[in-house]
Order: sequence, then C-alpha cells, then structure tokens
Amino acid sequence: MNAESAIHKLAIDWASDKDVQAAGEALIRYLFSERSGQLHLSFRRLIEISNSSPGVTFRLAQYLTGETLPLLKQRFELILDDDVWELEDHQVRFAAVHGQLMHPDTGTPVPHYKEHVFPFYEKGDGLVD
Amino acid sequence: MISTDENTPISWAALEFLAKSMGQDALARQIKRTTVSDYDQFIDVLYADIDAIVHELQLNPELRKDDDEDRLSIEIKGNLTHLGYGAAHESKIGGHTDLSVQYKGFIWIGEAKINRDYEHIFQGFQQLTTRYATGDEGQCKGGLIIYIKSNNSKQVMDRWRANLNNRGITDLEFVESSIRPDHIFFTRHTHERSGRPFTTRHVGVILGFDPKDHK
Repeated sequence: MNAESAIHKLAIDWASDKDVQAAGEALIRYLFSERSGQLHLSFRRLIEISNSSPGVTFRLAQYLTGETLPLLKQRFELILDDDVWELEDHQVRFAAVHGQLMHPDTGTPVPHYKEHVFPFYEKGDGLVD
Repeated sequence: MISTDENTPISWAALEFLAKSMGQDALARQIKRTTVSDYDQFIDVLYADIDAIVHELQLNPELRKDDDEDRLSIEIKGNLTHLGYGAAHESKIGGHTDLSVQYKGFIWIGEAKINRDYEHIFQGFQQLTTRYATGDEGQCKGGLIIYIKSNNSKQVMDRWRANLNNRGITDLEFVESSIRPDHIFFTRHTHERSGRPFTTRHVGVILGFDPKDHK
C-alpha cells in the first residue's frame, strides 16, 4: 500500500465527510513519509498533523486503528511522576471493562488512573513493509 | 476539571471527554474494539457499536421514511466502517448478505428487513441461519435487524417473537436482552448445517414517523 491508495480508500469510505477526508489525507501523507522510522505520536500530535479538531481526529484515529486501513495502532502509557510504563492491551482492556487499572509492577489499583494514562499511536500493520 | 488546552498532554480522561459527542462510552468502546482477542469480545463490542448506530438512526426518522432496506443497511455499514470494522453490504457469503462484518479474523453476518409482514421477516431469519452463516466456531452468532416504520414498535417485536415461536423450529429458545428488552431479544437454535447452537440477536429499530400536528 502507498499513500495515494490509502488516500483513495479513505475518500471512498468517508465520501460524505469532507472534514475527515482532509484531516485524513494530511495524516496519511505524514505517516507514509515517516514509515521507515519509529512512530510514537501523542493524540495531541495527531491533531496537529491532521490540522483538525479533536472530534475529527478521534473519528479518524478510530478508523485508522481498524481493519480497513490499519495505519495506526493505539497504545497507552501510564505516567506517574517521571516513571513511564507502556501498557499491554490486556491491561488497558481490563481497565476499560472493569474501571480499574492495575499497576504493571505492583498489581495494585492505580488511583484516578484516567488522569495518568495517555494514549499514543504506533505504526499499524498497513505501514509495516 | 479536565484540561484540554493546547499544551497539556491528552490523557485518557481528557480523550474520553473529547469523544463524548460520539456517545458517552465512545472511548471505552474504541479500546474494547482495538483490544479484541476472542470471538465473544468481538461480538460484545460489535453489539454495543451497532446499538450506538441504531440510537443515532432512530433520532431522525423523518429523514428515513423513504429509505428502503438497502439504504438503511448501507448507512449502518458506513458507520461500522468508520469505526474501523471491515463492513460490507451485499458481500458474497453463501449469497448476498445485507451486512457482513469482519474484524481480526472474526465474522458476523446480519440480515435486515423492514416490517412489511412477518413472513418477510421470517425470510430474513431463514436467509441468515440457513443460507449465509455456516454456524461454525467464530460464526455462530448473527443478527436480524428489523426496521419498524409503523407505530408501536414494541408490539411489532412482541408479535414477531410469537410468530417465530409458532414456526416449529427445533430446539428454539428465547433469551432476554438486558439492553432495550422491549426491542431486542436473542434466539438460540440448532444450526442445520453445522449442528451447533446458533444465536441470533433480533434488533428492532424504531423508525415510525407519524406526527399528528400537520397532516
């Protein structure tokens, strides 16, 4: 897959939403220009790259982390003071389902975890050669 | 107070706040979707997503009054695609399914009918369970979406349930839904081809529009 084919796919799937199309084109061009390196993009950075609102960026991120055009993989990191833990999918899922995040080292619940957990985005399968 | 100003990193809490325009639980559903690792998890989040889409569809029935089954199903398909599913309308799986969803190797098939009459709805049930779904592992659950354009949609669902119960389907069981119980129920029966239990989720979509203020 290349940037043009990805943009073409996006344009078909989002034909009725020009905002997502424009944001997606900008983001896709960026992602393909950076595909040879490591990606670790915050949600704030996605907003900047796509030059769009948080709402449009969220919709775009949902789409690009999915099955059809998997250019991104969403992950989460726990940041407490200066310590950072990249969370595994099962840990994040447990928190989403049960409303409780267990600390990766201690196994005890992290108080107010939603304030200390931050989404970030890596390369999805569609960007991997 | 959640800070979303331009210099603050966006936390889970902030993103949850920003995503609320797409439903109270939009971020939780996205996390559940992207972390799916088995068929039941896939089905759980797919049903939550379909319910959110149905909720939106029901908000403006006046815009749907001339839509046929295909047009309504294409709208659901489009919304599922936007959520990241590999969704299709009229894809070839033992025939042309109204709605098929593929995600992380799992498949779900839905058949959709307008409540023209109960024979028409039953045709959808038969298509789903005897033509499209293989009933194999990872394909043992499906959906029947019923677009109800008349009034008293609860009565339509009650009568559909009674109608189905009188069809003499072997081993047919009814299971209540905790969500929208007046408009959603489950059936379970032995799938003819696979011989395995097959579960169907019957979902009524309220699309009646008969305002009495202007005639």
